[in-house]
Amino acid sequence: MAPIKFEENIKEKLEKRTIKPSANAWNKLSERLERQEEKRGNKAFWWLGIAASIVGVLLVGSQLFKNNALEEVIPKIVIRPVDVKQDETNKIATKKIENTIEISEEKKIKEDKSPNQIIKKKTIIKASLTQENLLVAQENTQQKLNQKSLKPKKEVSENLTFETQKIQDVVAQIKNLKDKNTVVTNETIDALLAEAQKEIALEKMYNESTGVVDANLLLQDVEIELDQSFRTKVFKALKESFITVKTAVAQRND
Amino acid sequence: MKVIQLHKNEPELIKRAIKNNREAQQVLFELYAPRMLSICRYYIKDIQHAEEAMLNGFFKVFFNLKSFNNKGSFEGWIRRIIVREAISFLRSKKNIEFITDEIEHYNNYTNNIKTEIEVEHIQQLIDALPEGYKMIFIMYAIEGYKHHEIANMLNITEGTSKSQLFKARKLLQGKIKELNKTTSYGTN
Repeated sequence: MAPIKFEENIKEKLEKRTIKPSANAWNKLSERLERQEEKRGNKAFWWLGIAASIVGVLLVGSQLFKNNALEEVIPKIVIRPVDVKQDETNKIATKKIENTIEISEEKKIKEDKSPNQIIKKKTIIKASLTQENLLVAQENTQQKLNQKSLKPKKEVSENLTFETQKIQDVVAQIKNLKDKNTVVTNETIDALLAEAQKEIALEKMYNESTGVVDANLLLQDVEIELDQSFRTKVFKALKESFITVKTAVAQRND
Repeated sequence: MKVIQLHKNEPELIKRAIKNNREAQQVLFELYAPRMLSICRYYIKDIQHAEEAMLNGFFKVFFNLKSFNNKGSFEGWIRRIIVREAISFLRSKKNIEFITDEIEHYNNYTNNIKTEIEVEHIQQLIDALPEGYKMIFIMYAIEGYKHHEIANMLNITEGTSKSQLFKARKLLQGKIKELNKTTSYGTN
């Protein structure tokens, strides 16, 4: 027990003791704290800078990643609906083609008739002949198309023959008109060529053997038609004015 | 008036000191430094070195004040830091040997002046102890650390701590007996 008593005694006495630190003790400590704060501040500044740069890099990275992701995703989104809707568009396209064929036929008749009616009786006959020719040509093409469906290998050669035949038809028509001493205007030639082109384009566009319409060609065609609509309007207007003048002259001659 | 108010409101002082308010830090320093310097003096004989250790301790106190969180006694918290600092100071100065052989003869002090002198006597007795004995004796007998805590702090075994304490006690008792023969010390 003695040591414990002794220890309690000295503990009590030592605990009461205080030693006043030297006068500049606080100043020393204060200076040290000051220096440490500066270091801390600098460190904080550096850490802040590093953190900011990391955040910046991450932002840029994420932005790039997002862009890439979008670039990757967009085509997928675009492609799928096209695949799904292709059958539908085909149906619509085929319908449209049928319509356009009918319309073009009607146009042909009208366009062919209108100048012929005005000029002379002979030309009317010839026009009817040309109509017949066209019809025959169309029949031929239809037959050929049927043949194509049976013989897809000969497609290319038949296409060529179709085109050449069309050219020949047009040339023959123009020759006929010239032979009969009728005035062959540029408009009529253009009209004939345009019709021939349309037919060829349709021929190209619609593959009967597979029943598939080339979507791109169809789109091109529609765009061309839209462009042409203005041109044809102008032509029509010109034609009408020309016709009125011509009829006036013809009636005076009579 | 302001200083008196601050003295009364220790948590407020600590809050300010955390925000590196020098005034608050100084008030806290002046409040606890004399006690802490006394504690450093237990371990370190040289008063200047003791003060150095105390300042190191206070620097750590203010640097880590955020981690105090007002849990437990603030003085106790500072004290633990200061004790660790004093020990590490001693360790940095020299290799402490936890020796087992007898120590050199202790010079007798014949001063019979009360309290202050008595404390000085005690301090001199402690100072005369070998470093190994001294640290463990102060930590155990005065600071109230347990043997396993001492073992942990000094990186020794509990057995070493116990044996060092036993030897320190024996040595001190011998010296006090010698003192009592010449003076009236220890009779109360």
